[in-house]
Amino acid sequence: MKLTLRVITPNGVDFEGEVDSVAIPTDSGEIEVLPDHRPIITILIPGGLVLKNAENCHVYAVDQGFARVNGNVISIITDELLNMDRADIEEIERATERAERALEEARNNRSAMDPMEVERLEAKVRYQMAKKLICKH
Amino acid sequence: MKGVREIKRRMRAVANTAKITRAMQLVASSKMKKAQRIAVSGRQYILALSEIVDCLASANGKYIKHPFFKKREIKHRGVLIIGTEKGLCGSLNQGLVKKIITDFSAGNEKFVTIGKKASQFVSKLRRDLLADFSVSDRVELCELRPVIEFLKNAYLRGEVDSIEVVYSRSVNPLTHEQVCNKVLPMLNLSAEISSLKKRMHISEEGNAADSREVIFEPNVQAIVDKLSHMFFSQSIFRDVLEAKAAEHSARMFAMKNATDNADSLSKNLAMEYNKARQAKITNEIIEIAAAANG
Repeated sequence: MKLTLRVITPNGVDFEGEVDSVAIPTDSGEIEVLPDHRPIITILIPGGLVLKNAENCHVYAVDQGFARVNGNVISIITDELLNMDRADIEEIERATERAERALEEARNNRSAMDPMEVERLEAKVRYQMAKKLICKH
Repeated sequence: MKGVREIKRRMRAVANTAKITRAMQLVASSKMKKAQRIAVSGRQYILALSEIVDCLASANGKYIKHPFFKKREIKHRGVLIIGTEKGLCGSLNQGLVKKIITDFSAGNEKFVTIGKKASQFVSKLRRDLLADFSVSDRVELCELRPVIEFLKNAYLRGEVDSIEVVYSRSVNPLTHEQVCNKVLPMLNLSAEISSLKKRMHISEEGNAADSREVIFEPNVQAIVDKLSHMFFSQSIFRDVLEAKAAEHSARMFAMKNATDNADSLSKNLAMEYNKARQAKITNEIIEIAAAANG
C-alpha cells in the first residue's frame, strides 16, 4: 500500500505523489508516517521532509506550517517547499546571509518595525538555516 | 440635419473615448489574468487550513479556550466590506449596496471597509462605519495587516461579536455574485468548505475521512494558538484576492462594453456624416443648375 502525499503552499499544490513512507519534522520531533497511520494533526517546523520509496529517497526542505494525516492521505501545509536534489548550496548560503542581515537590521531599530515583521524575518532565518543543515548532510 | 462640421467633431470625440476605454480594457484584462491566477492557486491552501480548523472545532469544540472558537451572543455584527478603489467597474459596487440593504439592515451592524467606493456607500447609507482602509491592486498579506489587527482587536475587546466578510467574486467572467463569509467565530466551517470544494470542482466524497480518533500533537491548545491567527488572516487575505480578481474582470467587461458602444456610435455618426455631406452636394448642384437655367 502506498501513501498519497500532497504539499500545499499559498501558490497551490507544489507536490503530489505516492510514497512508501515519509518523515515529517514536527514540533515534538520527527515523525515517520507509514501506511495506515492513525489520523494526526501536528505542527510542522522548518526542516527536511524525507520521502522514501522502495528504490529511492528524496529530501525536500519545508517551512513552518501544519501536517495532517487522514486515511492514507498526508497533507503538508507550509509556506514554502524546496527540492533539495536541485538546490544550489551557494545560493542558499547567500540567501541565509541576506535573511540574517535583514533580521539584524530589523532588531536594531525595533521601534520602527512592527513585531510581526520581526517574527516573519525570524521564521525566514530559521527556514534558511534548516535548508543549510539539510545541504550539509 | 446637423451641420457637417458638428458631426465631424462628435466623431472625433467618440473615437478618442473609444481609444481610452480600449486601453483601460487591455490594462484590466492583464491585471485580471494575474489576479485570477493568484486567487485560484491559493484556494487549495485555504481549503486545507479550513479542513484542519473544522476538524479541531468538531472534535474538541467545547474544550478549546480561545476567543476565536467561542460562540457568544451576537449584540453587534462586525462586517468587513471589500469594495473597489475606483469606479468604472460595472455593477460590482451596486451589487454590494443591494446585499447590505437586504441582509444587513437590523441596525446592530458595525462596518469596516476596504476600498474608497465601499466607504462612500456605507456612509451614504448612514451606517455605523468603524474604519476604512485601502489596498493597492497587487495586494500582499503584509498590506492587510492593519485591517486584520483592527478586526481582531475589535473582536477581542467585544466591540463586535462576529466578523463577516462581504465581497463580490466572479462566478464566470460575465457574472458576479455577492457573498458573505463568516470568519469569526470559527465554528461551522462545513458550509464554507463545501462551497470552496464546489468552486474548485472537487467532489465531496473524494477522500473518505478516517473514522478513527484524531491525535493532536503536541496538544490541541498549541495547535489552536498557532492556527487561529494564521487562519483568520489567511481567510481575509483570500477574500480580498477573490474580490480583486472579480473587480478586474468586471472592469474589463465594463470597458469592453463601452468600447463596443463607442464603435457602434461612431459607425452611426459616419453614416450621418456621409448623408449630410451628400445632401450638401446635392443642394449645391441644384443651386448651380437653377442659376444656369435662370
